[in-house]
Amino acid sequence: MEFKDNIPIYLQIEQYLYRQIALGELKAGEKIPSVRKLALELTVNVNTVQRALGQMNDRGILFTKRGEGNFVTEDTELLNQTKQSLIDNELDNFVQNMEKLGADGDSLVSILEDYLKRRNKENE
Amino acid sequence: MTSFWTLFKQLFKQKNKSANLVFLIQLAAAIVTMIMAFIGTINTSSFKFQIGPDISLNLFSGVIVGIIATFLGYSFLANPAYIIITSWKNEKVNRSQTWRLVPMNDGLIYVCNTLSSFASFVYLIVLQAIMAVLAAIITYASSDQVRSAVAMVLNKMGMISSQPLIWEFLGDSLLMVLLASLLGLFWYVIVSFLHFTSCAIIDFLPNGSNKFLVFVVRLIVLIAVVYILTVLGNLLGNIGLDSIFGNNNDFAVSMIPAFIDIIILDLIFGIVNFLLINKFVEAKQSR
Amino acid sequence: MNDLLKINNLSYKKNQKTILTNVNLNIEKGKIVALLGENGAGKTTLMRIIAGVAKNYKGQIEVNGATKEAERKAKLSFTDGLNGFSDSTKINEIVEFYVNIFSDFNENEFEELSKFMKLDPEMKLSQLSKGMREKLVIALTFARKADLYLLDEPFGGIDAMSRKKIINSIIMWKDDDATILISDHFVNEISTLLDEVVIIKNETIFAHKTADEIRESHKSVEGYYEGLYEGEDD
Repeated sequence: MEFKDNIPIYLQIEQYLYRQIALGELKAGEKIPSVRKLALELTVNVNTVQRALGQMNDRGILFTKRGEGNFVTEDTELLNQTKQSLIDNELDNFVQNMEKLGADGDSLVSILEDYLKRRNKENE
Repeated sequence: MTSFWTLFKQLFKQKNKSANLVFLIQLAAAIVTMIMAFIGTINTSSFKFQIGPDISLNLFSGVIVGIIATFLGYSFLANPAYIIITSWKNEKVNRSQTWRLVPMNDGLIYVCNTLSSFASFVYLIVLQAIMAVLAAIITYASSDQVRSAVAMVLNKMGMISSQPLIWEFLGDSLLMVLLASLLGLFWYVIVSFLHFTSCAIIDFLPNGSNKFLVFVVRLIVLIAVVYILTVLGNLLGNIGLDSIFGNNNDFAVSMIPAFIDIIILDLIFGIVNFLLINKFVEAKQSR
Repeated sequence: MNDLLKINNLSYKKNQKTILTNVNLNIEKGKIVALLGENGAGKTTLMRIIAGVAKNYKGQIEVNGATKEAERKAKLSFTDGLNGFSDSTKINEIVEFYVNIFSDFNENEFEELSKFMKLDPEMKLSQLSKGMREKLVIALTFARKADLYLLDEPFGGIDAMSRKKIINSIIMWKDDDATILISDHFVNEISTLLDEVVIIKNETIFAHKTADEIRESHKSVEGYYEGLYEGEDD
């Protein structure tokens, strides 16, 4: 994975893991890869991964079993919230970009509906 | 931290390669020399090796003894060659970052380095001595005439002196060898001193990479060393050793002042080198 | 504080030219820190002084409590160019030297590292490419269990694959308590690895910041570093 170099890496690792969870690549109750493995996979410092996991532990998304590692929470409520906040993030970006293009408020909804219809036709 | 002995073994291994190489070349040169000499005289030779008026050896032991004698003669070339090669190696180690990173005081690394070359020099001399003993044994064993001649000489000596002179002779040779090896050590110490002082001065002077300046510094240091040595040599030679030992003509006793001189000089320059390398002489940048 | 490396009022001159002056630097245990600066800024010199192979400096240096040079050398592992060995020396023989000399050298770990780097122990130094040689140096440096690792421009002039291997070996083999100082004049290839950045400029420590501090102000480490030289002509 490529990091943006102007945002703290630990925040980006958190985002990356949230996405993995939201996409179902990491399931509720599942053990996540070890700190060192994650560090290697993402080519980052072990300290940075630890910081990211620490924050996720604090938020309850992860929990630690002593001597076994970190696991994804089984609290579905919390997982849904996480997923929702990812969706909200994406929509924020989308809406901001659309606003820059002059599509705002009511027109945005109709533009989106129109786009989805066209796309469905093309896929048929 | 690394112990003195651990580093010593490691360095000795390196220096030992030079000692073995010098020994093998010396031996090869002796064999070649003997073969050449033999080919040149093969027609006139009666296949008897005359080693005295009435004493000769048979062919085989004659060749062997001839090779060994030539070999020993070459020691006068081989030993200085060894000393020069290893003093070059010493200085490489002294400024090598690889060796200087050894967890040990730099002065001790220097001492260890010098002593390992010295120990390996002693090893070379022992190898040569073994050859000498070998030659003596072969000569003694291979001819009746030799045996009777030796007996006669010993007998004559016994009449002149109350002490068996053979031991005096051996002892004196041993002292000569010791003196030669101490001189070798002295050479190492002086070369390091030259190297260290010029390095320290060159690092201190502005524009240290100027080749001419480097040359001038080396020259000045060399002249200074020669001067210091003559002054020190004179001083030490006159410390009244003569009055202590009187006018004894004994060869061994006459060597004592020289021994003391060299040991003192080794120590003085060794200590100065120890301080120089600890405080001023950097390892070369390794890249 | 849990400072592993403490440098106090260090200055160093060579040939009457000031190379470093008034250097003060503290680095905490366990951090990966980049030592950045232009070529000739004094990065290598600083490392050599810490490692005790450059002499005649003023000031105090402490590596995990050790101030004497010999003791410091025992606690740090410095990437050495292996110039003490002749070109005909085999990797095997160099490893033997390390095993004998450094009591903290772990032969098993070296074996793992050299397998990872694909080094052949029968190879001679003269047969190694620049990248291979650099990998060997890194493997030897990391196979020691030191408190402080000084990596002097480990990525100089080597290909992307070797670089990747070296970076991965740093991630894989670094103990949690081990502290690493990596010098480079170029930062983007290691920027994701860094906890902190130390910049040498104008003969001293010009800046010392955590990577997160820089990024929280929405700058990249590279941008921040390059920004320090803006307006200067070279």
